[in-house]
Amino acid sequence: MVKPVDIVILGGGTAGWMSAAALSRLLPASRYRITLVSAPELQTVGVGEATIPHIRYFNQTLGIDENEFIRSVGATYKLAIRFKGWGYEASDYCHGFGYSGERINDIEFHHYFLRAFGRSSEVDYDRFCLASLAARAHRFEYPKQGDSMAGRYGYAFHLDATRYADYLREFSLANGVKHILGKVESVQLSLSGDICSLRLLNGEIIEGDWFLDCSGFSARLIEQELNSGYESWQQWLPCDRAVAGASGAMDSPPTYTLSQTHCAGWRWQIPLQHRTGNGVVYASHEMSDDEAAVLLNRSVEGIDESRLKVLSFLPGKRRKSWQRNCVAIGLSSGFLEPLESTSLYLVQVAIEKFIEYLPADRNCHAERQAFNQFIDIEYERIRDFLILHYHQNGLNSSFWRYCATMALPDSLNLRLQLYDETGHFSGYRQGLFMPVSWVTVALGQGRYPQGIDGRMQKWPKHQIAQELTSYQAKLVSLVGQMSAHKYALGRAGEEGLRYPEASPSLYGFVSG
Amino acid sequence: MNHRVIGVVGQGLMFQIASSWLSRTLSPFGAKIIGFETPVKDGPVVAEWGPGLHDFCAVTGLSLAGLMRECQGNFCWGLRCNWFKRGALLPYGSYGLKSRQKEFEHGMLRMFSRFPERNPDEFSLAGSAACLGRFALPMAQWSGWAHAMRSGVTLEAAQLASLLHTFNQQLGVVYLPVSDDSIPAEAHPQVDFWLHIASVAGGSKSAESIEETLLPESCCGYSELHSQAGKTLKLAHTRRQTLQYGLRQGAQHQSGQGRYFRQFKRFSASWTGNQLRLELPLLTSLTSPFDTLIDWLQKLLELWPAQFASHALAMSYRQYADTYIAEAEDFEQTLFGKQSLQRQLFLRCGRLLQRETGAVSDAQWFALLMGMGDLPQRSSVVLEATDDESLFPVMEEIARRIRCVVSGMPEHREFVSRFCNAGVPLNIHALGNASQGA
Repeated sequence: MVKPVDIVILGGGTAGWMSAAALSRLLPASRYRITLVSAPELQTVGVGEATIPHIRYFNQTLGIDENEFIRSVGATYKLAIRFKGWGYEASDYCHGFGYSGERINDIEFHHYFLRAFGRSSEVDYDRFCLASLAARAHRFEYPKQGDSMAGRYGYAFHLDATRYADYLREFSLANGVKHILGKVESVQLSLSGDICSLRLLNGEIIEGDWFLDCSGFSARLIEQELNSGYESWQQWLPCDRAVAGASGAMDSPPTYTLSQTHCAGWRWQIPLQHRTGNGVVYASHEMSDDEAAVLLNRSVEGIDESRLKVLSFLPGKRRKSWQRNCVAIGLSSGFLEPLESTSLYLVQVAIEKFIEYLPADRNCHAERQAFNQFIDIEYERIRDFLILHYHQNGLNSSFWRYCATMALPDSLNLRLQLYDETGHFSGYRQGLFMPVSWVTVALGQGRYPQGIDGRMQKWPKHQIAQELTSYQAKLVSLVGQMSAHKYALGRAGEEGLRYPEASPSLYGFVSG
Repeated sequence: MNHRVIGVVGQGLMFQIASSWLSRTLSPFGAKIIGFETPVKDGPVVAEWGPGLHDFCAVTGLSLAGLMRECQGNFCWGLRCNWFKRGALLPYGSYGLKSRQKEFEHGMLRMFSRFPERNPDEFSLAGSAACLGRFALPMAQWSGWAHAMRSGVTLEAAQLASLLHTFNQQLGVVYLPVSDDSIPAEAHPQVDFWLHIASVAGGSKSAESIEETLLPESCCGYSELHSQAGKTLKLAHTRRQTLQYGLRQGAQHQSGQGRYFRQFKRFSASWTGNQLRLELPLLTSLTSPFDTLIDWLQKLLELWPAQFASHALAMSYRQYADTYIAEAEDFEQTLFGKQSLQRQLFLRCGRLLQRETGAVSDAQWFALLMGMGDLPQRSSVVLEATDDESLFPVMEEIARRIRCVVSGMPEHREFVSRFCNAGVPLNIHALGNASQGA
């Protein structure tokens, strides 16, 4: 009989249990043994996690019923992220999970928008995105598949990360995952440098063929043992600390995550069914922890001051997420602040790729190289998108002035130059954010291109403006027909409610 | 309205294609196309298109049936390689019947590891149809399988170029004869943007020999690569003629320095000021230069600016073209034995690297690596949860349905004949059956 392959996951946070759930669900139990080791005193941040629509695809792959999931983890629906004060003080735009307008004559919608309204402050680009409009109105409805207007968006959830981890733990245990509570005392390496086993404080030895490092910022295996190295991106993403706390549930929870700037960073608000997650993200050289806590208390009513948590982080990426027989997933692999709710997405794609490439033996140079290449591209493209949020601003504080003038990565520089000169953002095949997202942030923060598509001059401005106004009225009417978010959440508790199929896209459907 | 003037410089078929495309896509927006035609040089007699011709027809309003009829066209499921160890066809279409059959190729790999004599072509509509000499377009009852039924077309190049010349004149393209392509921009200040199309014949320097052989009634539904005695011959067939040219193989290929590779690397794009220069070799072993041209023209329109002299635009365009070239080149070199990461990864776990352009499809990569005899050490671990007894009947059922679909297709020759003689006019736009632009 062939010995089963032992996969050991270190870490019992969201990344660890997502990995355990996926591996135990998708790999045959007869050939793979999954063990998760977690410290008894493990604490997750536990103030709420904002996600993007890919989480639905992950749950669907695992066979999780969406309605049961919503009830279990206290989730609320999410259609957008609302950015207030980003770019300039009065700014207020939504980055919705859907397309703004439609591509007409093979020209992207924003060129029509810019031709019609130019820099007019009376009309905002995000008002042509149904998901954004619905989010502002605290409404929700499932996208209608096949409908050219009411079907072109996706949705995600705000969820309680601790409850999600608990939910996935139950799921994993039911699927045969062995859970060991214990703290790692030492790690044994073979002569070749691979990890052989973990020795726990109680003397127990956990042997494995593959090790998933989900130990969070400590990167216990990938860094402390295998010295993978870390590439800091703090020169572009200067925030390095956050203070987080919970407040009571909102009467009318919005279908958006709120992100609002302050003088040295930004703060978030994530509405859950049973409470609201809040946090202040800041650059420690500009703001102290105490000042951040005061700011949080001042900004949010009813925050539980006794349970504030301070987190420190270094934005960046592990140089090699897969080193020897160890794969880093989650915070051990890198950290990009949750400005665009990408944390669980990065966990998800790493798990999916690991399962795709799972090697037959340890002679896995090709799998490792391909995996690291894939993860690098994912991180770097999200990084550039996040930097745009910071860089595009005219705010008046030393923090924001630094961001506005900092030197950008070459990849972002070229993207922005192209946009500035032509109005176009180049698309890519691998990566999360398509041109519509880039345009939403650029225009939302007041970055207007010098030129637009050369074909646009064919139409008089007023004619396009008229058409777009009529289009927008139809969108507003559709939002009017949607349910209040609170009602939609109540409905999710009903037995047998059918929800749409998920797809691995930010915008709700997979083209082609 | 802003009347912009686009100067297209070049000669031959590529030049005419670019002129048609730009005229059709930009004239509705007030642009005027001037064709600066250099003296026509000899080129290959057969133009091999992949699925890009369908895009070309959709944009220009030319009917596929009309082009097939006028240019002695043949349909083409892909490229057959006579030295492949498993299967034979590099298909344009996907394996299986539907485009989103998760892990379908890995089901195939599982079968091949148990039954090495099985053939990938059994699991491909294109592969099966090509073996039996059948053909159909994904119309009516087969519309759900469009992705699996993607095909290319081979047309007589000179006839197509002449036809497009006439068509372009009808579209309003103005032709100006010039002695060579070094036209001083200052002599034509009215031109806002210059597109130079250098369709490199490639034959005299890079291909070992070019022979044009008249082979009447050659209608087989695919192009061919034959490897014999250290030589590789490429054959592409219209209904009336076969183009045959040699690609040198041998020791030089192993090092990646062979003459063939130099030929391929002549795909290039450079953008300076308001001038874009595309160099496209007419003879390649795998990548259709016409599909490449269509892809690059689509990219050009995707980035269509108000002002052409943009450094970022030039850089972005070149970056895209370079990526396209690198991906196509990786594919071509792998065919001739290069150990690429793509091949190593496939050998280990049956997976393919994600790519950034449409130069090569997953199905083509899969077919190539299978054809080279590569059988991965393992296939999808997710499929391991399904045992052979459950998996194989599903795969056999799909193969059976493919056989069934293919047996319902007419013979290639018959289909072509019916299709060409259906009386569809060449220019659909002329009948007002389609609309472009606003």
